[in-house]
Amino acid sequence: MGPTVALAQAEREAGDSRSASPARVGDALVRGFLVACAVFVVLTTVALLGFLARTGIRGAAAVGVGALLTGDIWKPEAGVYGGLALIAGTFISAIAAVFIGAVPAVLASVWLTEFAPRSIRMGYRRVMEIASAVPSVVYGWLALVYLVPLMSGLAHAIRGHDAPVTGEGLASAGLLLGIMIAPTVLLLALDALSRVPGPLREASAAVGASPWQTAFHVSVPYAWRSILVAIFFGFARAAGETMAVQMVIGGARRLPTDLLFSPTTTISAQIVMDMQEARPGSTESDVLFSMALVLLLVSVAVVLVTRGLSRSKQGAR
Amino acid sequence: MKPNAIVQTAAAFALSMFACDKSAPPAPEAPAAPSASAATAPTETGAVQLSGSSALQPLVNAAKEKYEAEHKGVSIEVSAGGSKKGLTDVASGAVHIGNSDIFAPPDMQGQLVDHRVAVQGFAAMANKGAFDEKVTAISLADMAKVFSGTITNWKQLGGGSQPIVIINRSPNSGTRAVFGSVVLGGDKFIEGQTEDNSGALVAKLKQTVGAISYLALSFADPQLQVIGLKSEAGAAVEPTTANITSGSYPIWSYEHMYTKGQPSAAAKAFLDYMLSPGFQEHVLPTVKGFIPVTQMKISRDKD
Repeated sequence: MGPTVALAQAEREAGDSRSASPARVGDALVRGFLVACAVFVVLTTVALLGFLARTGIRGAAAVGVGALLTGDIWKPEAGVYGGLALIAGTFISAIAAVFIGAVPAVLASVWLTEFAPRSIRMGYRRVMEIASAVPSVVYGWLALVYLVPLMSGLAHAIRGHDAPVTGEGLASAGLLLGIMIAPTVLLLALDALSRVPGPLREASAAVGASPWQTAFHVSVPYAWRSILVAIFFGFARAAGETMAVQMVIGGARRLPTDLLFSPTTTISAQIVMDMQEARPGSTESDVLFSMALVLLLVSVAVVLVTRGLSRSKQGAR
Repeated sequence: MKPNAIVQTAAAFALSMFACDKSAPPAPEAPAAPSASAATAPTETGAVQLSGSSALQPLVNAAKEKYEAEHKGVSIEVSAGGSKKGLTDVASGAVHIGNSDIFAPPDMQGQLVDHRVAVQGFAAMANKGAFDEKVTAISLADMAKVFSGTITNWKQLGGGSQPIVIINRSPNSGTRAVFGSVVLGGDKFIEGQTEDNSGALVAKLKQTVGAISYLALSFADPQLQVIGLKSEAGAAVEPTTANITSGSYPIWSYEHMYTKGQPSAAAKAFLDYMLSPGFQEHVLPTVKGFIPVTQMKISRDKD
């Protein structure tokens, strides 16, 4: 169908818009389809949350919330469910990732928006966009082959030749997660800083501020809430990461004997490990959902904090 | 609907999804669904589904290849995931045959029928290096001390000074169950690094200096140090076929293929093939690590 014909037909249809023409039926169908899509997405989310809450609470009730959160032995095959090692592993590796990856990413974004020439900024952004699209299994595999042996050497160099330390552990996991979240955090922080109005910078320069002063006394304070949102988002992604972490954390179901260089586990890695044997409806399966619920609550908390920050930003102006 | 309308719909839909993607806070990765729900129910269309032991998988794959070539239209679908998963799957009806290195637990034995297709030995295997080149066999008592965490350095076993890194299989592994039962008298492994299948474990053992674990002999490899047992008299007992069939090397198990009740026609035909003299005498010995059940001079009725 050529454009002219289409145009003529559109005009004809516009003319008899009162009647139930095929075009109106088509519109209704499309609208119905879109509404159905919207409802479907909401329903899946609600159903997921409902299921997770119901099963997770059932699992937590079977074991006891206190035992689940503070017990340090996780042995589903013996009916012992202490999630402390899993929770600690998740938090420590994610917080490490924030310091190793997110904070440098934010500083890099300040340099890019405030000091670097435009050409470098654009090139840098393209590279980071590619880096943020690399699948996590690729990061994990590379880390397993190159990072873990490196960390093993480092561990023995620091703790001594005969020390019971390995390359697998929180150091590898934190470093890997930091590398993985840095591109995303950098892109978000870059967006935040690029929204700082030009006149603000110009005014700052006009009153005699150096570029350094403009960056850290004008631009960063203006954008700090969005920058925090970027960092929180990086934290949530690191806490939920599964595949890559499972490949380098070692999978030992205990608190690490050496904070940096001994195998331990995280919530998501342990779910992947244990789900094969967990029969749906059994306590083991329910408790895995309890741990998933903990992970979800952390993410929801992060989203709420993020929401709160962006709302107070609107209120301020 | 006119092509234009379709294009517009698609564009609008794509745009709305894109817009949502930009504005909504990204959701965290959803946890994967339990794998059991992914398995389909058995059908009678000439497909036979098996799951379970990764130690038995090489033998089943060898049988599958020959059997499918001889029986056009039949497909054999094998997945690994650990012996205990095989037992759970076959009991719940998710697969036709559950592969297992271990006997079914008493509460399942009533409904499951055992088909013993082979015997397989297991051994401790370690990363190869100067530190353990002299450690070719250790006593059962020392082996137990290594895997329960009492012995922590290769020099305590007569090797060089190098910390021992224990790598475990996950608790649903039949290899772990068999090895633990013979060496430790139960699952008393010290908690440590854990790998959830034999293949990944081999890669990890080759990479990690000082590492030791336990594997089915079908995974023995020139790049791994296979560690035999020392008898009380001090003689080394290597995990060879002769030592296993005579009963002098104790770490072995039957390879079971369980069905729920009597097997379906397609599953029975495949099991009959695996137990046929043609397969047992000509194909099975060519697959590394497996021994025909008929060669065993001793027998067991539990692990």
